[in-house]
Amino acid sequence: MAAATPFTPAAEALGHGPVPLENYHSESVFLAEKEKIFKKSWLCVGRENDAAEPGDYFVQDLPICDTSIIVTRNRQGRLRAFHNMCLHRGNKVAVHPRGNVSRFVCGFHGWAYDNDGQLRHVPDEGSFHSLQKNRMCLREVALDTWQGFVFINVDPKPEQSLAEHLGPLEHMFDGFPHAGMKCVLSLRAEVNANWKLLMDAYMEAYHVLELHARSAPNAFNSDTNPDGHLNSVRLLGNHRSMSIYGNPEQVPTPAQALALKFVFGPSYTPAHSAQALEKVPGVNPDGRADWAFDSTLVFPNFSFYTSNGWFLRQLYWPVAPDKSIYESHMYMFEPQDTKGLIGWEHAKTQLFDVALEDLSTVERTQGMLRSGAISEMHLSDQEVLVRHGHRVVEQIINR
Amino acid sequence: MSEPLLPNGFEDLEPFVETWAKSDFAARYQARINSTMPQIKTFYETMMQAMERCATHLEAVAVGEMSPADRRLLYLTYAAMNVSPAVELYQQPDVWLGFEAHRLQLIDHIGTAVP
Repeated sequence: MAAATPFTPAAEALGHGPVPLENYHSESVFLAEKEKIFKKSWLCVGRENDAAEPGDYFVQDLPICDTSIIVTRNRQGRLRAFHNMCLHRGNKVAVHPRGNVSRFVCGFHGWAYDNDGQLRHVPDEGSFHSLQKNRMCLREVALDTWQGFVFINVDPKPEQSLAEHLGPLEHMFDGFPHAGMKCVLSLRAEVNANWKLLMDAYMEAYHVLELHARSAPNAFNSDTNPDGHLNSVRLLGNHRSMSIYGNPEQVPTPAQALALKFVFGPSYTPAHSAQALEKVPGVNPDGRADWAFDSTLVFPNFSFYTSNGWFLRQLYWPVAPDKSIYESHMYMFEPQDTKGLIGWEHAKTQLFDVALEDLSTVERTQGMLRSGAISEMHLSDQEVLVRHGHRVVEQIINR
Repeated sequence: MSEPLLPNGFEDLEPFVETWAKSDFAARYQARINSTMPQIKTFYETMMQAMERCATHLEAVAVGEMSPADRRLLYLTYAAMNVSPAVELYQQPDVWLGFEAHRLQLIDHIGTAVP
């Protein structure tokens, strides 16, 4: 008997039938996703403090939008985003992943731009005819922020503001103490699989008892919830969220127990998750003691994991119908002392090991799709967020 | 006199320094998956016994003021955490049937507090 039934009428309305696998490898679906979703949506490319000081910048390559973006903080402290493309002959002006500059100098002929994108210097300017330097700026990209996350939209005239795009998510994490947390570990992998296949590996907890049986024994199920059913799910327009059950009786391993003693909340130890949790609407919304963390998919490709003392920013970037880039960034409170750093290492190791497990099935699945041996997948009630994701994409690309 | 490998009182851990006292996560993970289980077990068991002693010593030293010997001791404690799942959970150095570890890259990020 399930400990909880997470289902809402909205989830029921998605139906129970099999879902076609075609969308995981079709070239035409991929191109439609590129034009109708990724070139039109607000995409999370970083954190505000990734460019904390005036002159700081970072570069995000966005193959799915056919571009590379520079995010930089200008002298007045405002974040701006530009296509990473010189106005002269199109070369990339920033070639390092991050840095601090007052001039982006194109390495081809030396054209130089300031942090507002304004063209400041053209070598041998006199050899050009009718160059209106003061009107020439790096092409700007829409930028806005939410909960410390930086979003861009490559649509020259975005159909929605970021707040409109977020809709029901906008205030769900008000009060989450993200500002005090630091990036502890950033991971990246090129994965030979469709971006939705990669994302769907993170849209349910049904896989945990098999795939993570060794990594997290007894953490996400118990005698009262033997199948590790979700505490709850929320379908939020194009976005979706779930709260993951945690076994409060889980006994930590010796190293995990030490890590927990050294720094609060680094490892996924459910017994500690719900303790002394600040009230945030989207975090453990059921107010349960048997809770581990929440996972919220900010459409189209950004998973925001929230728990007590940590959060995760995870991205699934499409590159080709059968190729994606996985990015995972873990944030935790800065330790008060050296002991905490030892605890951090345990959390990093756990994230790394679990990521290796999660990524393992994705390429194996993609490798079988074109065989045509099966053409659809069967989803349980526990996988309703996978179903929702496919429905949302289908609705948009068939518009 | 040459500089000590580890702080005073931690001479018993010196044999582990060469293999395990690595300054970055990727190198520690690499050391784990390149070692045999007997090597990992010996290191893990010794370090778990010594962990409170190490932490007490390190806690008293500010991160910015660590000597090279203190730093090596800190890296040993990191490595002990890093190998712990091999002993406690997997009974082998790496995860079962996982994605290739060398393909999961650690990327440049802001805010590491590792000294």
